[in-house]
Amino acid sequence: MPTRKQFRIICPMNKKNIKTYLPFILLALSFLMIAAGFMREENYEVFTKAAHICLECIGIG
Amino acid sequence: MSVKQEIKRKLIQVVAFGFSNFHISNFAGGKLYTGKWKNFCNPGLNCYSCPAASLACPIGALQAVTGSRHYNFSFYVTGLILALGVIFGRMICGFFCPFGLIQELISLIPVKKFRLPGWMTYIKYLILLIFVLLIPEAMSLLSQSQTGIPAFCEFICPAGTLEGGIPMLLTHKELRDAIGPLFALKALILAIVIIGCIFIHRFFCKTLCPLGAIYGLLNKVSILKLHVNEKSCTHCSACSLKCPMDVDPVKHPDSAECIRCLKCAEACPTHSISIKAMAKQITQQ
Repeated sequence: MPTRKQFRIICPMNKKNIKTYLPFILLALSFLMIAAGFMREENYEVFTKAAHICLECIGIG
Repeated sequence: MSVKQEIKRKLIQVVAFGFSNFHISNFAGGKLYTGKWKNFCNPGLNCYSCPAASLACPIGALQAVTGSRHYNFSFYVTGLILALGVIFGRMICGFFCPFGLIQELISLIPVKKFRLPGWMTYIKYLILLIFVLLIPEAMSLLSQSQTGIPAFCEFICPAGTLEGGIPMLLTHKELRDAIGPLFALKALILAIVIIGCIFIHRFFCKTLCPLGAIYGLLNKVSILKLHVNEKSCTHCSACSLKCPMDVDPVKHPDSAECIRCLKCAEACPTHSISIKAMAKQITQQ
């Protein structure tokens, strides 16, 4: 079992590393969210709205 | 970056505009494109009620799903905006946004340009929070029909008025008969935005755009970033004077206001500014 000091050498979680990895963590999260959205069929909701005249958008309400 | 690079950026903007509004022939009959591409969201702000629009508007889609009776939160649209923001940051505003191109073309009118007071750039965050997130969600929870309203699209969005409202009203008499105070409000906001763009670079992007607000927040964590070479920079301030978004790229290269148009790089006499993907340089110095 590695000691605390040894663990920090193996897996250094300092500010610089978090800053480096954060974009990729967020990117992975975003892909998971997109997949979850497709599984929930949210794209159909988007399509339904986008394929019809949006009366609110054009100022009719 | 030379003048040729600015022309290249304009070309990319025009191609992005053309891709976003591919179905030009629909203007004649006032029809909408209803094909499968409308399942997907545009990276920039482009009304999906524009007859030529080929993709869905991300802000409109976000409000539509959030305010629907089936969902309270949109994983799909939020994930898409997050992915684009993490990769490009606000570079989407500078290169791919159709309404951004429209504003830049309006700004070409040769009159003296003014700087906006700094506090006005925070208005877009309030608009994002209240009109895009809270009102659609609150209305869907509180109303009997359990459907929210796309408050930003309905009360504010000038892109919707210009790209969707005006073409549709010109071709549909029944819609013209139905206009009232709401259209007058939206037309007033559109007029203010157009006049604002004449005197202030990217007026809508600076003050009202909720999509720009989201991408701007992701500027700090985006993979593509503005990089300033501290060794060659002479702190002459040529970059900050040229910046259309009133940013000082040397002090704040990751500013939430920076649209990464690279006009600062073009103005830099020592070529110290470039775009980098993490450590690797993308643009030439």
